[in-house]
Amino acid sequence: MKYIKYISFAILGLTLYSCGDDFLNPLPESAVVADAFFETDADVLAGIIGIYDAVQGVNENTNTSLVSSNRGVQFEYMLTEMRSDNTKSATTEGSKADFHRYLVDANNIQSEDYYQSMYDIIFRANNVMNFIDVADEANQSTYLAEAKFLRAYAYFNLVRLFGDVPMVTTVVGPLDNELLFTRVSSDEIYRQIALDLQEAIDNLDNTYKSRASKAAAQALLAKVYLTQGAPNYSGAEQLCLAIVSSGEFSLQADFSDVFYNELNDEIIFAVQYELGNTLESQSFSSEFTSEFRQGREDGLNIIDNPSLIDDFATYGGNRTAASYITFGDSNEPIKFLPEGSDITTTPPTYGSSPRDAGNDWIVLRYADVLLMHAEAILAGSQETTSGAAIDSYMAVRERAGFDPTDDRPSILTKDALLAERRVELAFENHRFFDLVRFGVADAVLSDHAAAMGYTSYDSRKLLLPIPAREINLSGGLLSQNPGY
Amino acid sequence: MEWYIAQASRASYQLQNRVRTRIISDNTLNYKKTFGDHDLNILAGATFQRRGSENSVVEGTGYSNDLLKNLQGATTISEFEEIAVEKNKIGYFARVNYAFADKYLINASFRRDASSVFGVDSKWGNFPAVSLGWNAHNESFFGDDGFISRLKFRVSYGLTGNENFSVGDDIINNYPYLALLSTSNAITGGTISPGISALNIANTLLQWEASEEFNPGIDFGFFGDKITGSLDYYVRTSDQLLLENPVSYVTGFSGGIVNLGEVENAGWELELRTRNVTRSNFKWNSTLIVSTNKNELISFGESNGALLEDGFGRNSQWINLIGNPISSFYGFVVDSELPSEYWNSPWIPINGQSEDVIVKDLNGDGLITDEDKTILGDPYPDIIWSFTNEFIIGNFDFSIMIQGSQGAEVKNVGDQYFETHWQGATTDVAAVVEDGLISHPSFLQERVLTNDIVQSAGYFSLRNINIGYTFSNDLLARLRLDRLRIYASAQNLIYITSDDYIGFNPEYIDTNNSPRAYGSQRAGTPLFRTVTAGLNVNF
Repeated sequence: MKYIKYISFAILGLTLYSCGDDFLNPLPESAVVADAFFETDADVLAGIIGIYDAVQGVNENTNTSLVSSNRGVQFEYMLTEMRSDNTKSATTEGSKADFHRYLVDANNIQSEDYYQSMYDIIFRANNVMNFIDVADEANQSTYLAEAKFLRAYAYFNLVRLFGDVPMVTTVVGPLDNELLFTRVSSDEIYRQIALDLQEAIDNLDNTYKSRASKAAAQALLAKVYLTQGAPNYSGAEQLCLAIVSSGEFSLQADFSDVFYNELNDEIIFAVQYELGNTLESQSFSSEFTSEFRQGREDGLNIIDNPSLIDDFATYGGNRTAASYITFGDSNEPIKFLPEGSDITTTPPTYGSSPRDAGNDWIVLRYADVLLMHAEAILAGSQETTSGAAIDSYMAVRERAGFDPTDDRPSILTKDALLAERRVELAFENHRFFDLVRFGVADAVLSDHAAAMGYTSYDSRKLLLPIPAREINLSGGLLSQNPGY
Repeated sequence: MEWYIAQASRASYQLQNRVRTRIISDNTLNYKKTFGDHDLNILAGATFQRRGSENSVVEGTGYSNDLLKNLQGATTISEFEEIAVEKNKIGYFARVNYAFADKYLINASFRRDASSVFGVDSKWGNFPAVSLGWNAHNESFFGDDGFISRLKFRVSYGLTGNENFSVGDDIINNYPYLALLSTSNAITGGTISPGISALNIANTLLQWEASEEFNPGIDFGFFGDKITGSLDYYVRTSDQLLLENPVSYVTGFSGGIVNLGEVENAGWELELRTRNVTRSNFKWNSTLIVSTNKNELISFGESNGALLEDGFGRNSQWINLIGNPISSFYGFVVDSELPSEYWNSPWIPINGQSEDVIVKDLNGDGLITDEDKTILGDPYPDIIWSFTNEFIIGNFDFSIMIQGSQGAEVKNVGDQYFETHWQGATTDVAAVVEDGLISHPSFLQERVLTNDIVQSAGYFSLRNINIGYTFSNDLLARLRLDRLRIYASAQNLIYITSDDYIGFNPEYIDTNNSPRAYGSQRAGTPLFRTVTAGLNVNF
């Protein structure tokens, strides 16, 4: 008996030692080990859907830390609309209030988050491309085209907001400094975007509105052609015409239905959300309220500039009442009111969970394409008498309640087209890019900044800073934009 | 302005389950033998640990009635999450203690540990240690004059391992060496579609963090142990630290867990206990404990000089720079305050401060750039001390402990709130330049980026005070009680912070601070002043 304890000890030790390999290499149950994953068509599709998840962004009202959280498109209004002459933050507190005053610096959290979010989309797209050959043969070209569409979408946002940026078209490891920190010229990035979008056009149809489609790729490429350093106006015109002549899209009769009737005939590409689901919802709807605030902040993306209200009065037609509402001193967008809102009561109500809103974010819609069609025909000149351009322009105007004959101009000017885009697409993150594309950003925004007392504005602020974090990590390889 | 509008029903119901399983098997063999003046003690053993953790959360919202406490009453399941992880460990160890005549002591030990969190080929680590001791007071050449009652010299050297780190994600914390994919769903066509995306950058080479410690010391006692104590010096060098290293966003990730760098902590520790009065009806004991520490980053690979930012969106920075404490506060130095006529607020709160201040051009190039930032302090105290006195006078007992810490700074981001910085934002930088206060707009920087919010975390406290009365045995016998004591105690009755600290609690550090960007507080939990009175009764 005396030795029984030694023997039992030895047995126990040996048993545990022999099973040590599994014991020391337990497999996770709450995640999948990558090596074993991509094996079927469904797995590749899950990878593709994972890219859309990055496009969707993460609701700010989640438990994740405040920084580096892939808010993505949910923060986009700060980088675009609030840097235009349209909107502002209600207070001057915090880094979210730096956008409308042109005070964004290289450490700005939201700007950095957006930069990161776009590269997250790009990484996920590049990563899935490695596994396309696992998918069913019939699906391979469409999966590839979807991934390339989304990659192009992300680079287009990056190049417009940050200028020359690093460009990777494969998965790149953390030590590959040359690729990670070399800024590639905008022209070269636009070439890659055009290649990717052309491939999407060639391989996709119009099955989806919340996933990539032929029309979405056409519309995005048209915008790329109008934006790039040497615009391709005839290419843009043909792409817009192709969407028009497909006959698959039409304007909603009632302007407000564009926003409250999801995936309607006017929508070409939208990012979707689900009400009440923390992981799949968005926070911007609640942030656009101020007087009766629902969001985390005191109100973001609210109207800043009397000139927008003047433009609505002149050009808005019946869109004005569907675009913003005035509570006291506060003029707030109403295109994305959370489900269940009633703004006719006092105080207004905003549904059961405004911070987990389900309103879609519309990236591309038919009215935008019609106005791009007119813009392509205008081809950078001050005015046009082209009937086709004026037809497209008037199609959008007529829906807004303007008279087809009495209100029809014989000459379409660049200024009129820009003003039309301002009121049609207000709060949809187009204004800033429109000003740049029309070549008037510096003139308009310097006047705007002077009028509003934003003394930090200068033309270099048209590009956002490369995040300081990236420059710090690059060991001197990555350069900053001028003025930061 | 209305800040909050009540909704139809804000009720939510959260169901949370946490199951933690610990299966630990510790097995030891012990051999003890005394022969003559030789004492030998040998220990060998093995330990096996399985640590499992399962958390799940389901939250329902949209209840018609606040009284419903079930999930089916919810119209929306707003949150749902389940995480199961497992972390296992195997360790083998052996230790030999040998003493000769209770004068010469040798202790040698060896551990070999494996943890499941490390790479397939780097799970095992070896951790030897050795210590030597000499009980000089047992030598015959020490007389029995009672002046020196105890004198021991000792020195130890050893390695210890660390497997703990946190990157903020439980799955990555437990399986950092595997390339993991996690759920990444999206809404398409109005419904949820299942998606997946990469969760981490796998580090297949991850290994133990090892600390090497050298610790010479003396234990002493004088006058028949009326005065006892010890004095130690220590140098602890932690190598291959388990840290999250930021990587370029262009990779699709923000960081990865790595073994990186080397940090040295060195200092003195003194403990002194005296029995000042030892009469039967009056006892008075004192204890003084003092320790000093210096933290220094010794090596940091390519990450030397890395700048890290706070998690609040306030953009304040830390630097990890060799030759300095690992987590050093970094920023501009205030030159002067911005006069209030340049503030944009029509109403300036009492004690309000401007958001912007004029900062110093440290390199003298006429512009304020990142080059003008410098190290502003660090969160590590130079000295921590406490002094305790205990008295027993008759049936009364009384103790008092004062305690303090000096030399640490805290990055007080809460200052922005306390002093409502944004009420004092500048709108007209050009006017400040035109009026000649500054030569370039860059001289105005946000206060939160400067030394103004790096404040001394030093304090002096009356940490603890106790008074009690124990009733005499006569009374107890009549009441049929074993013991009856009435007492009152108080914590932090006096608490003095540094003049430049503005906040509730200089000791508070925000919990989400990483080891590389440590020592900030955004307000935080106030310090408690507690007063307790009570009765101890033993039957």
